[in-house]
Amino acid sequence: MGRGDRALVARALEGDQGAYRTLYDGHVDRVFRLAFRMLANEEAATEATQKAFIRAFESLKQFRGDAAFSTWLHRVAVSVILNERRVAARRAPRELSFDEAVSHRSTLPRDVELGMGIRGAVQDLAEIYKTVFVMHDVEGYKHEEIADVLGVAVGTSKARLSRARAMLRQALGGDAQAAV
Amino acid sequence: MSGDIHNDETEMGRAYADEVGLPPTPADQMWREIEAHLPERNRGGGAKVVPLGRRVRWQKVLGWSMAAGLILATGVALGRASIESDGGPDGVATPPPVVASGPAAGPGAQAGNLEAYQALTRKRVAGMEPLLTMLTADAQLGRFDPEMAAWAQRQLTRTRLALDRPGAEDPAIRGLLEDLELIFVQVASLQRLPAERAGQEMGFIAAALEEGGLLARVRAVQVAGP
Repeated sequence: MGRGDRALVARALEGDQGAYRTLYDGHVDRVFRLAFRMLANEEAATEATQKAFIRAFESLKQFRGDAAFSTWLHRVAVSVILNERRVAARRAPRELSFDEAVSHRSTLPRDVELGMGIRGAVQDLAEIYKTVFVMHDVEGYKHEEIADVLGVAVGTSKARLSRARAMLRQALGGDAQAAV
Repeated sequence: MSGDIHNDETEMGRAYADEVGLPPTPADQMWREIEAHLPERNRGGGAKVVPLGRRVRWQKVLGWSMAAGLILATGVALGRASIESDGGPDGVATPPPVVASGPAAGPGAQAGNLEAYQALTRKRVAGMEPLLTMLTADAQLGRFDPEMAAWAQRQLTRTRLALDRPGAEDPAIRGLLEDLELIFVQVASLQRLPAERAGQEMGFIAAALEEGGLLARVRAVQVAGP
């Protein structure tokens, strides 16, 4: 896949539009999934995914092939997604805040309670923790891949995940354990 | 115990995935927008579209030329003002010759000096506008030009000097100078990063520029004049 991507990148840089489309088709689902999980909003995720591919394709000459195309594309995507998140946070409050979610939990089934609580709790995590939690625990990225994408050591990725989980457990006040 | 923790962690990820349920990827809808921005088109001899990146590069070249001229003119003017007053070294905060000789130098002369400082500070800030415009364009595209770091380093020095002078007593100007200082620190530090990472950091700088409305505030200073 990696070698195939490099060949596609070379063809795209020569002006082959079909190569752009093939690269897009190969990666769009994973980028969109990550954007949606991070932003929890379909419109924002669509916007972020578009921007990520536009920026990546415009900067394709900067792809030197020392990392997999997927890793490079995800670096661009994470940068765009985090920017979108900041912009969205400035423009409008979340649809459902953590406090609101907690206040409505008592009448709901326990699995729904956990879902509502965790959505707010994850949204409240600082970016560095939320990114690692979503990538690893929700989307199944390996620590090595996360470290490459975020430009940190593998140990840092693991430490951030551990901290993210601890903060989520604290925010959920033990509901997570009770629900398991 | 460790098994419980593992289950808890797995459950949290799964619960979040369930809560934030995935819609189908709108691949074709997104592609239409992306396709319109592709750098090159190769559709059997169809008309070539000038890519966004190339347009920006042309604007950049024009911007650099205009900015270089502006900086030269501003530098010469400030240099002259500096030499004519007291020969101060930085040419930024040294006031033009407000004559206040001998015992007549009183509050009126001091007010004149303050106004002169403020006028020069405003002029310096307004002179940053063309390059700040380019920086914003680059930042929005996640591009980093090493020349920009050198420029930011120079502006950082001048901004800090200006902050220490009476011309920065105006709260609006002071706030603007402090915000600019932060941006210049960020941009100047990018030269130590690999190009790819620097480009990504420019994305964050774009957000900071937008958040602070910096370009609009610099333009407002320009419009307000001395």
